[in-house]
Amino acid sequence: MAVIDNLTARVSRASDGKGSQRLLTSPNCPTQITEAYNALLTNLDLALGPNAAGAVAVAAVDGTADAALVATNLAVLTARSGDRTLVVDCDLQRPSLPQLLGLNPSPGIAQLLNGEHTELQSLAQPTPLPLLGAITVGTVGTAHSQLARLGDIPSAVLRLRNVADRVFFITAPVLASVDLLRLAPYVDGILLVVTPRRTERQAAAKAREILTKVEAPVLGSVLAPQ
Amino acid sequence: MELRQYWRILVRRRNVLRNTFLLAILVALVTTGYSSYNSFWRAGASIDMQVQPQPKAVTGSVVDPTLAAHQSTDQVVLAVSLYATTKEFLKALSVGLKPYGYSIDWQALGQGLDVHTSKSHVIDISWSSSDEGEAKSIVTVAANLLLAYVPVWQKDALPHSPPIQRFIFDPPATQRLHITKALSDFGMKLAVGLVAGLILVYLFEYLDVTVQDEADAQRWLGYPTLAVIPGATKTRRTRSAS
Repeated sequence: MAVIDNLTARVSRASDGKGSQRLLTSPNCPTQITEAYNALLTNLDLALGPNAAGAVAVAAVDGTADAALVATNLAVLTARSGDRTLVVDCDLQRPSLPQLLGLNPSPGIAQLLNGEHTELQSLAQPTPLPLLGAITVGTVGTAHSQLARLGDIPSAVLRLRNVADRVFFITAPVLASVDLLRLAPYVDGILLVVTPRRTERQAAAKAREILTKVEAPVLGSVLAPQ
Repeated sequence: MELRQYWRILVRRRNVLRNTFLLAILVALVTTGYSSYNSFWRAGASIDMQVQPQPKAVTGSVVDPTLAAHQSTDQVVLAVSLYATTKEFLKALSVGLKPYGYSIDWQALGQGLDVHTSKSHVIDISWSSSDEGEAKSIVTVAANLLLAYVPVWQKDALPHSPPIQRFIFDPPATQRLHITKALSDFGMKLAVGLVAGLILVYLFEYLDVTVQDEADAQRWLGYPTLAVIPGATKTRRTRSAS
């Protein structure tokens, strides 16, 4: 119990920023936001079909949207509903999970990919929810700006899927990196995050063009304020 | 674009429409109130001028005398209308008002005095003011000055033309402006404000290159929109702390 209280306090301290009220673990989170995320999860499961309990990559269209908040909130909901859930931060350019959930920045997915850290149980950091684990980006050298250059993505994804019922990958924006395209063949679906009045229409059209070209399994989009 | 999309744009940018409309109400209230206060009395006069046609025997011309008379009338009316806008006339008007006890700058007279031709041979003069006596005096002096100018001009420009039969058929009279005029002015300004608001809404929409709503995201991204997360700052109900 004391451990949980300690973790909650860490999350609260870490969540003093602008996204704090929109994180579902926050006691100040408005009901409408919770309801909206419930609707999103329902629609996501319907779109996934038989693979409802699978791996989903959440990516912003461009740098204006916050994919980490959406992925974390979805993970919180699935963990609350009883699924063993992992939220994995794969956004090498702008890691935000440590700040969002009050986690240690390292070790993370980078260490799993390059083989420095193979123990998943210790890699997944605890959160206020018992069934929710979080994996941060970890320590990434300046030379490695792409996920694929860090190591073997397929086997890492497979291992993560084996230890959890649901895995939510936070990836870099579609137009900012090819990480999502590298990850796309190994996930069941992709959720795109758009920020109304910030994401440009041309950026959305460009993202569509790229994702269509690689036949990425895009399930749909969500409009989330930054 | 479908009619529904136009409606969606209006709903989305209702703040622009509302604010423009409120601004229009404010401006309309101020301007209508100010002009109603300052133009409570309106004095008006009309001068009818017509050149009498001369018999052909007198002129010996092949031109139709009636047509010639009409042309001469047009020239007179035009000359008088132009004279009414000159500095010379306005200064004379300013001086002519002093015996009535009114001291008004000729430039202010130029801005407020309305002289126009309502028919081809009728010149209307009007002045609106909060002071009935002032309005009547200005119109009276202005009409007299213009009438006095006619023979002077005619002597120079049309020396062989027959005299002009002139008379004021509507002597300077004042009327109290009715409230309906102020209301119609106010309504007109509100309508202009509403139209301006609508123009602004669609102009902003045209200039905005960002994704606006669910339908917009679906259109440009090409994938279904699964949910719309409301902004934390716009929500009112909050969860009770668990």
